[in-house]
Amino acid sequence: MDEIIVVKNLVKSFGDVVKTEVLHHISVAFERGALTAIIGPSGSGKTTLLNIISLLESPTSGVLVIDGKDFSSGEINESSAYRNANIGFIFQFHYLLPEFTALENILIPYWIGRGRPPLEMTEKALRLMKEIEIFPIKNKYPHEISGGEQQRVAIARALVNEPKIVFADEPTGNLDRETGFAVLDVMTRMVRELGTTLIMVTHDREIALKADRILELVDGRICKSFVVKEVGEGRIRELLEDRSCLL
Amino acid sequence: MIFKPHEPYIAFRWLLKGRGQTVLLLAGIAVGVAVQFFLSSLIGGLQLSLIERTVGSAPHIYVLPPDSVPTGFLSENGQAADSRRVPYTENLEILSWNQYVDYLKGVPEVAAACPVAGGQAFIERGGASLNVAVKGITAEDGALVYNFARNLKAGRLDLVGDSAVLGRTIAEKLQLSLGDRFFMRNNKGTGDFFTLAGIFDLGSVQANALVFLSLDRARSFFSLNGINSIEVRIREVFQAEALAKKFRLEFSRVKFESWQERNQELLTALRSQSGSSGVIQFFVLFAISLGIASVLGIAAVQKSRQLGILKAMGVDNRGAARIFLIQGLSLGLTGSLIGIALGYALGAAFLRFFGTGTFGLQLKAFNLVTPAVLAVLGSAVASVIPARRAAKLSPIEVIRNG
Repeated sequence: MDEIIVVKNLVKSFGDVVKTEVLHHISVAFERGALTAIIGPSGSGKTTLLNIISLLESPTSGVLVIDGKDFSSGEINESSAYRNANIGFIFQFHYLLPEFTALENILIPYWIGRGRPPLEMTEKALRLMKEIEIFPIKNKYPHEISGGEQQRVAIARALVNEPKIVFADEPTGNLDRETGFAVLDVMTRMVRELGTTLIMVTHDREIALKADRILELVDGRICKSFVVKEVGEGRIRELLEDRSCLL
Repeated sequence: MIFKPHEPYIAFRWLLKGRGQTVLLLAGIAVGVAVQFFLSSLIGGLQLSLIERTVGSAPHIYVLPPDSVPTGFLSENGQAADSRRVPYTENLEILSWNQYVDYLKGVPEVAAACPVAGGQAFIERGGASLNVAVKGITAEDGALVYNFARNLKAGRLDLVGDSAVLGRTIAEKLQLSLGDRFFMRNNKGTGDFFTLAGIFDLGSVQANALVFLSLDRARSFFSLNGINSIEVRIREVFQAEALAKKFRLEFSRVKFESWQERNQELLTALRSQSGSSGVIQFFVLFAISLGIASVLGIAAVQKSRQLGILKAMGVDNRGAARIFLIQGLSLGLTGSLIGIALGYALGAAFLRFFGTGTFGLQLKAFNLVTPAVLAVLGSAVASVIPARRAAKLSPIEVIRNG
């Protein structure tokens, strides 16, 4: 298995005086090009894990290697350039910049990393918009478009720099079920087409079935790991590993 | 490159989209710069005008006989001096004046040196009598010292024989016209007739009560052996005191007085005016900076969410700070340019509607550039607070808290 992210003995604690450990010695590897869903109840630490492996937050201890580069003791600010070039984000809330049009928002990561986008880059962004069916709103501002469209723009923004990994934290959490699934279909289709690794946090088991692999986090530990298989028209999960961490 | 391309792109877009706020900020800076520019130009103009009135058509350095020094009441042998004798020496004249004049004319900083002999006199005409100050001068030197090329309003500076050139005040009071003859009595009671050859206006009532004669005629009129003073005009008016100091070291038998020494009150007033103007300008700048700091500070809070996501997408701490520095700098620069234009307009309007025509605005580069540079610097400094806030902002906090 070609692993793009390797985590070993990862611990995350909060608080200076009274320390609260929210991730307990997590060891896990993420396969390059695969779609992985991290599920678990609220407070299980899934978003914290996502934030650490996406270099938004530092681990307290442990090893974190992304694409062969060690980020175990990495300063968040020093990871900025790496994040810009290699990582895409999709959050529960779209976080589009309200002062920029949909197309401009999509091109922002390119601006940050490489400066003014050339014409080919703009054309590429427009093609991406066509593929995820938001081309007609290219010149509209975020407040002028629907929630589903906003999240699609956020997906295009996450993909425009062709990152190695896309992290999605409850990407449909802010949308109604129908729109959410439509957005999810777009997101999974695009990352599969581009061969991008997707790591997604969700509390919705049905959404998790869109992934290739599911990690179940309970109380800061990875308890179970599933592989998702297609059976006829549907998809089911099959237990791969059970660490029985609750026992 | 100082800035990365996306930083001005984001900074300007935020400014453009927050149009109302940006316009208010620009207006604040522009008004501040305009007030500073207008105030410094106006005060500069006023000061120039005051200095011009004081020394524009007057000598800058006076060379005078030394002060009278009291003699002791006891004679050398210890006996009491004769109380009927005047107990001081009189030094009202400079006898060897030619050597001083020649020396002064050879000093590069000196534009003109004019020997002056004169005293108090009365002009009597048709039953009226007017007290005047008479100055005997050499026409060529006097023309330079008193700027007669500009100030002679009628006639010629024809200082030969009994010709006299009078100030406008005297001519008007005594209803004298060019070519008229008038009787002038000196302080010893004797007098003579003179012919009016020219009328001048030196800009003040006091100066316009002068009568100019030729040097020789004045010396004979007042029975002088030497002269009373040498009046010097120099090229750089504010160098007068330094030059006088230099001359004092070289000549001990005469006294040198600069115009600054004679106009201490005026200089103190000018200094006070400059000081108070500086204080006002400082507080205007301070108010502008506070305004920018508070508005950009609020903007930094308002933009926390956007900044957080930008940081997640790869903008580093310095980059986030630079967005606000760019905003502060560009606001300062644009506001300053508008302010300078506004200041000019304000000055022009002031002179048109309220101006007395007696003084203008001192539109010099320093007055133009200083408030603009200060406003740009003030704006940059003011943007440091929001910039620091932006730099410290953690993307994860924004994302976590929405």
